[in-house]
Amino acid sequence: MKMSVSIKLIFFSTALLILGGCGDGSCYDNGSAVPMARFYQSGTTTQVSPNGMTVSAIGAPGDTLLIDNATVSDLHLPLHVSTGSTQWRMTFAASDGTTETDTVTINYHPIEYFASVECGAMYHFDITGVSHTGHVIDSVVVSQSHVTHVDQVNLRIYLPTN
Amino acid sequence: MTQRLTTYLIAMLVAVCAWAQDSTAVSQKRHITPVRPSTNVVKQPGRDVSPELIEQYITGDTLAALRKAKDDSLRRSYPRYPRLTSLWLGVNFIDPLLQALGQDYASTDVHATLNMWNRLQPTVELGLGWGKTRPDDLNFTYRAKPSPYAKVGVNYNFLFKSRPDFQAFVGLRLGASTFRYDVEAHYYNSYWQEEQRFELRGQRSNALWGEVVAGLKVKIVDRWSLGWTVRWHHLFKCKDTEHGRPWYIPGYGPRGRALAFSVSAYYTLPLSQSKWPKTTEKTPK
Repeated sequence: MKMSVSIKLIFFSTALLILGGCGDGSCYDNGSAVPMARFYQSGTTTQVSPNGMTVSAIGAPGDTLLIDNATVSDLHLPLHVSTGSTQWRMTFAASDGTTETDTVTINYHPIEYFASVECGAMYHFDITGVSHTGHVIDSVVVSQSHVTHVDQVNLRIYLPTN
Repeated sequence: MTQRLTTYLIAMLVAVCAWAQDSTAVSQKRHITPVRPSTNVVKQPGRDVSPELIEQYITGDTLAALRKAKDDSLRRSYPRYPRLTSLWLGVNFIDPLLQALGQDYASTDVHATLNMWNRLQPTVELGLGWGKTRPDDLNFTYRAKPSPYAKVGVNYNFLFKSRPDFQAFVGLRLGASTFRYDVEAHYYNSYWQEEQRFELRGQRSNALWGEVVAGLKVKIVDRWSLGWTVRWHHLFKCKDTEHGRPWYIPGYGPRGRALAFSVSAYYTLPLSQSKWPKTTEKTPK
């Protein structure tokens, strides 16, 4: 009889304790999938940060600038879902005050994706091709063609030493 | 001279023999232990010793009787339940209640547990799980369609010496489910000021997982009991699709949550009840 009372006590108190527990609902990744480009010195694996750089997408509403005359080492380039191709205008400032502009075109295939309850639904992208003009940029390499909401370098943009 | 010496030696020999005989008599007396009145009683057999066993002890096979008395004593200390002690049928009902109170998902199952020797308990659980969530600050509605799951496993009851009415157990489970879900989403890109809606319908996945279970089961009335289990589970495999990762797995719960909880009502069917050990209520001294 005594044992049955103590077991019942443990039974109900532990049930209450467990029912009182709760979880954490944070998203520890990005809320959307945006390809990341990183700048490197041509022919090396050395990262560089171009000064006075201006970046905008061709056809963006209001010609909104993504970067305005800033020093950057990484670029997040949001893609236009419905077109399947996005062109980026990148202007580099030289030390003598002159500027040169290149255009980088990214072709891709969007994929509807549900990431998690915390991060939500979004588009992932499969990059199918990249082209660019060569005023300043030496080459562009796709290092990771599948663009997800997890931070990773998708494009490597190689610039000359000077 | 020689005759006197011989007489003298014989007299010495007789004296030594007489002394030795006397000392032997003294040492023999020392072996006699007087019986104290307090120990001079016949030890009574225990209350639970059967008259047949006492008769066997007195009339002949004393060692066999003692051996049997020891076995009987152990049996009284460790009551042995038969191999098929009882069968429980249970319903896990807590999730539908919690869903009515606002939880986004629910799993409910019926389970059958065979209680063997009141110690080992193989169990089977068959259930259905479903869910729907639409977080206020996010852009989707996720619908987990009602889908089946199954678990098999075994419990070990620590209270095997007690009546089967009360159980404290740990156990292992292997669970599997195949399930479907739909997602409706609303996507907005602030840079492009672009708005898209998409639907992922009929997404299919399957999962395999293991559980470590700890629980209590107590008799409430007659053959009816209540029990809860807390379950730590680990996902061995869950199929992701091209379009995402399932949020809810029937029988497992939300993906990424390591703990689960269940509350069940049980009906117990006693088996081989005639072979159950007799229980005696202890009276306080």
